[in-house]
Amino acid sequence: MIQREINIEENLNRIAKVDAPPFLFTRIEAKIATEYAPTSRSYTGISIASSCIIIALNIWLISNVESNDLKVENNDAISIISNSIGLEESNQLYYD
Amino acid sequence: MSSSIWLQGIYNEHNSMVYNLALNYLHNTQDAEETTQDVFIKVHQRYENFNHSSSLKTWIYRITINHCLDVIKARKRFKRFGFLIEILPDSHFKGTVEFNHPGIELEQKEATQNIMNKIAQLPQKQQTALILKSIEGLSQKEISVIMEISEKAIESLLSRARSSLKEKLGN
Repeated sequence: MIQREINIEENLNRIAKVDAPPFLFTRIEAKIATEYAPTSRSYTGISIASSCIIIALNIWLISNVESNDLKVENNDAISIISNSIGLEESNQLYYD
Repeated sequence: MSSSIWLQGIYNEHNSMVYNLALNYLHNTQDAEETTQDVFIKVHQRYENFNHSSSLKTWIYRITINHCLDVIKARKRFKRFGFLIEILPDSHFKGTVEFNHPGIELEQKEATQNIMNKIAQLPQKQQTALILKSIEGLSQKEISVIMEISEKAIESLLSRARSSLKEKLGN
């Protein structure tokens, strides 16, 4: 039993330290450079800014439509639609 | 000082420690190389948050150990879906990791590989304590600082790890 324990410890103690491959730091530098590339940052900034503008435009348009168009009374809305497709508003069959 | 220069300084001082520790956890040069890269990228990213409550070496030890344990967890998750990998025709990853540790002498390879595979089956804390003590050759005090537990707890972890290892090796 003791012999076995010594063998385990001996085996583990015999594991030698090895050198890391020499090119590793170059790869690390390259990875860091791609992660922190200014172009990728500026693209992210531009895409965030443009989506904010689009959202703001949508909100403005929706609120504008609600405040102006919905104020038009029903009759006005009917006349606008009927005029646009060339329909007569009057219910009379014969009119002057 | 440019970030590349200070990182190179840290790398020159600690790369061997990180690479060897990764080898002892992952048993494979390719994974150890990737881990070494990832560890120094993490050091670069997190250095501003390093509070100097411990030494830089201890901090890098902790990052390396946590990263290795994450890789081992990922391997286990991958193994669960191994049946899917088998279906893929060109898959180079077959769920098992080739044992490739350049620090082990050829005539000792089989015996040491067997011991290291059994160490990998131990609970994480026992595994870490045993690797740091028996392979890295750290003192119990150094291990207790890295693992942030008392020296007595390290002693107990080592004792349990050794007896479990003996059982697993067929005693």
